[in-house]
Amino acid sequence: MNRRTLALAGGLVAFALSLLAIFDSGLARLGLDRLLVTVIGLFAILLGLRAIQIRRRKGLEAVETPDPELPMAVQPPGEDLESVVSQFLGSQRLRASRTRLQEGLEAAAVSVLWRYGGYSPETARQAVADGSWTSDVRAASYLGSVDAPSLPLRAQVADLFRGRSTGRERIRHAVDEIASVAGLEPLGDPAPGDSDRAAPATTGDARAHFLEDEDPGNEWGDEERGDEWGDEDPGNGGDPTEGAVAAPEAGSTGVRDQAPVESDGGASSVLSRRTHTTGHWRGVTVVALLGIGVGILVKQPAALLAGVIGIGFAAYARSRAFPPGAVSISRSVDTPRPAPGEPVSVSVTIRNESEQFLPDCRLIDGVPDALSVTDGSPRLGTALRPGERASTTYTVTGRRGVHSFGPATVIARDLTGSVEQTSKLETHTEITCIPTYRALSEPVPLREQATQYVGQLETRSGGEGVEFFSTRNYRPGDAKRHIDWKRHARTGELTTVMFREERTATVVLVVDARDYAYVGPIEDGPTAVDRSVEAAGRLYETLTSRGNQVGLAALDTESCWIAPGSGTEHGLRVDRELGTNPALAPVPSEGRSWVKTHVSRLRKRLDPGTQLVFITPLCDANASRFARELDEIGYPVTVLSPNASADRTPGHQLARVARSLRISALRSAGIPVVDWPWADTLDAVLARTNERRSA
Amino acid sequence: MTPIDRRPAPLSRWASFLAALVAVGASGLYSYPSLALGVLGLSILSLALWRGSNAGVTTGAFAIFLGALLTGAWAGPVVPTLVSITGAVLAWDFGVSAIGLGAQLGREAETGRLEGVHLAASTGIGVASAGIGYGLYSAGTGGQPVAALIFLLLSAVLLLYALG
Repeated sequence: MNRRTLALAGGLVAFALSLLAIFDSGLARLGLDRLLVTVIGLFAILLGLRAIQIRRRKGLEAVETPDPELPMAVQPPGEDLESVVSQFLGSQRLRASRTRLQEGLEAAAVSVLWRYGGYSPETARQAVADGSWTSDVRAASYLGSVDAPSLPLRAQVADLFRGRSTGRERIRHAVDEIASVAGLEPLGDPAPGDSDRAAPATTGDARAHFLEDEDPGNEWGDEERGDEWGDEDPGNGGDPTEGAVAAPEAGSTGVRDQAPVESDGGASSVLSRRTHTTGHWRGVTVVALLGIGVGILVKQPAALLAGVIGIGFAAYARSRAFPPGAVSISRSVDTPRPAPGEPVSVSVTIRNESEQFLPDCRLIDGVPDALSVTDGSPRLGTALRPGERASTTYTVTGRRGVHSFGPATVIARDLTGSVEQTSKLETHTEITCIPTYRALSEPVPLREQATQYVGQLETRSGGEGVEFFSTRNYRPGDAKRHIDWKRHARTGELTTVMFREERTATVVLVVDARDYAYVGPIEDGPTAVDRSVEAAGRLYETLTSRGNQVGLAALDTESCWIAPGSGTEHGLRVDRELGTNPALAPVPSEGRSWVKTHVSRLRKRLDPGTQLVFITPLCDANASRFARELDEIGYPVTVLSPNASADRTPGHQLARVARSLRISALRSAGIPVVDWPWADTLDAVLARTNERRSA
Repeated sequence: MTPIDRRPAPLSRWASFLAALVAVGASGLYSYPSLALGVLGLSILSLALWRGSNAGVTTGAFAIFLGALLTGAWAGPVVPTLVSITGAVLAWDFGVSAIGLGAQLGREAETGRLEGVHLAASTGIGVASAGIGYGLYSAGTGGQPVAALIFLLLSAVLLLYALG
């Protein structure tokens, strides 16, 4: 402030002197001796250098814009090595000298040796300690104790020369060795199946509980935080902070306009507004100051006049001509209810609601998280006269779910570009896509346990049915229509034809839609939840077409439950639920879910003898616990598990190992697991499973 | 999934390059050091425009400006010097705008109108300032002492600083 006053005084004095110089040249010539001129010139140059310094230090302050046209990036399970490692560790106490990573990998090695390598827990632990479990010296030395072979100095130097950190190399080697003990082969791209691995399927195996038996003190084994069955939002990195914007800080009306989908009124509400300077012209005074400084020193009019241009631009920058004003947006969608994969054309329009020209309006539409823009751009930069509108049209591809458009970001600048105002404008638009599903060509491999109704389950006993099963001697009481009359005519024997007995099952499809399940091997591909929902839809069609009663539930924070039933009405309800229930949305919802609550809630809802088909990528221990718990209390569970694994990093590898162990443990506990490789169709996988079962 | 193309906006980028070219052409004819500085600045600026570096655009434009100032200081003619300095400032303004626009909206977005308005406004200011400068110069040669001009400019700078 003080400096400004000084500059003001100086400026006025200089102005007075210039007037004096014009009208009374004699007086002015007095003050203009060589020394004064030099001092003024140097001072101007100094100020100029300072302006450069300010520009360099402060730079530009432009708002960064979101990337709404890209869908949420899908990550494979095990993106964070630490968290996979803690799945193996549980609440184990750590020996002081070792890191958590080493402890976790050791536990993983022991588990795989125990399950796949033919070791007992004790010998496995011993083998890891002395390094005899693997021929890889890096892996052995990383996990082993003092008895283990140590990494030769030569190898360490070689690592150093190749620019690799020895620590990271050892981790990679250790994880690769663990994966190879578990029989996991490298995944191709797209992932070919690593399913159908021969796994011990004996019921009542003493090794049924993967890892948990090791630590009887901790009921839920690998629960890292000690809270029971809860899973925390792992932060899939998808949501671009749209939620924070809705905070009613500045001028928020908070009213969500429930206009019809095809809204075209200017009904947008301002959620937030923020103005700041950009510093676009910061440092332009250097032109004035250096021009004047150099001009005074060398007494050249051409250089001196450079100062005039600098002053012109500096004054312009400060003018803030045509500042940002009010705008409204509207949006229209040509197909509010598209089929999956159908292109939807979205048109967003910005209108100048102010009384003046708006020279710089930049619009970025709030494309829903799950949708990606395939054509055109949801961004627009334009200048608008009062009342004028401009619009941009882009295309998104229909995808299952209810997709609500987020607020559009409008960045407005004044004519000079030195002031920038960012606002979020909301206008409600929704795209709803409810797919319908085809029945599978293969029967669903359910558990052999059935109700008394005639239906799909193919039992292993002969009786009423349609498919031939066997013949036997006639017994009094057999129905006459089942007597093999041809044979009677031929041989005179009375035989009864037996048919394969078929009974219906009551099945509830449970889709795992917790945050953990929003994983997939391909960054811009579908998630395991997408796969699971599609599978649920197709299983529903298949099962109901064979006379079963089928219901639907989801494992998530939101409630999702349809009691078992069949018929057209019921089918439509299921399709709608699969399409629109927020629990099954294509991007994860926030919050925690409590698997234990789900178990007790399902218990109350399920009739005795109901079968469960649990569709889950098996990415965390709670998924397998859920299956086992329900199976133990008398609801036969079949697990269908889309394999979302990748093998790009040690974390991915270790997550694969963990999943493979979970599958083995479930199979040991007598729960059939259908491992569904990412690249395969559900039909193909079920065909293989059925073939194996009948063999 | 293709990432968004955030390279500088094409129209402003070309405008920036052309302004710089005019600036170097106008001042470079009168002295070799000025030509050298100008060509150096032009190369830095072009590279920065291509890569989208704000610091590079600022450095390049500053070098061109210094070249123009050198021409002026070595008794170069007034009009080319004024043109050159205006060109340097405009190249800087357009370049920084192009980069900012590319960063915020990307190349896919339609931005022609916005850029056009900005280019026209800045060019107008540049031409007007240079015109006023030339007017002062013409008036100044009519007998008014250089001292009056110096004090006038100095007062303008100080007042701008004080009121801004």
